[in-house]
Amino acid sequence: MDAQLRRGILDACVLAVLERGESYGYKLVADISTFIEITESTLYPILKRLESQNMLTVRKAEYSGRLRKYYSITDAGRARIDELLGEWEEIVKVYKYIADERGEKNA
Amino acid sequence: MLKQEFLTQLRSGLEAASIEDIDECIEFYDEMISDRIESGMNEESAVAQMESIDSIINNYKAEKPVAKLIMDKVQKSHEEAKGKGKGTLWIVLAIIGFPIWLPILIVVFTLLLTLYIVLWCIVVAVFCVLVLIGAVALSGLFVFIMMFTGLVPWPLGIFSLGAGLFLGGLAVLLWHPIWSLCKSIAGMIPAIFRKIKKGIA
Repeated sequence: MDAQLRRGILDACVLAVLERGESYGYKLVADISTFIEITESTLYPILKRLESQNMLTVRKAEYSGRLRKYYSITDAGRARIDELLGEWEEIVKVYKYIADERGEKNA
Repeated sequence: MLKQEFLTQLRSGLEAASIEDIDECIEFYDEMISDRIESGMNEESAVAQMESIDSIINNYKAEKPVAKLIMDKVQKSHEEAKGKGKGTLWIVLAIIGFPIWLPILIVVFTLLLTLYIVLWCIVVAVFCVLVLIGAVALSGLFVFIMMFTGLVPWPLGIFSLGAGLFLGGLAVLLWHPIWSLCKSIAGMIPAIFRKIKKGIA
């Protein structure tokens, strides 16, 4: 998959999981891995970027005697999901057009 | 490999790659390994599930625009050069600029040396004036004593006594203010040079 497209999809996946409720790094990897391959080293920069873009907020809370970071989606994050879904509809239209064109040529 | 060893190696790798927010990144991987251990894995297996340090760094770099990576690298080099005080750029500039800065350095050094000598000359000159007044006063008294041998006429001897007493009194009167003036000028010299040094730095 194209790196740029994959990045956009992963952004949407992280935000979509967070839309269900607050989460933390390890759980995010586990949840997202059920439908797309993701590793910690992929997730970390995404979380950093989404945080810098105010699409999610971070809080630290004590858990089992250590600090754990919890991530929550913001309104800007929710708006981003809508935006990505809108873009996806356009992509599907273009995809369909390309597939049809090819089908006609091959027919 | 255990968690601490992995995190130490990761820190070294991130530092070598000039990546910022290293502490935050270490915290993230620390949390990831700790969460795995908590879910039932042993420490070695949890660390083994982590990606290689190169892969972590490459993914981090891939997220950043190239311009930002270059800026970070330049900034780090600049900070290192500043810390060591001998960056390659400065060494090159010092060699290239040698014909310009050497004459300027010589001129500045000569001017400062001249200023130093002049200031000390003022101190010595003021002190010499006082010594001269004292010496003239003593010579007046000597001329008065010579009057008794008949070698000096008595009006000149009396005049010399008067002049000698006057100048001796003047020397005594001026001793304290002139001594203080000399001391204060001498004390000012290091202060002036400290200010000049501070101005240059």
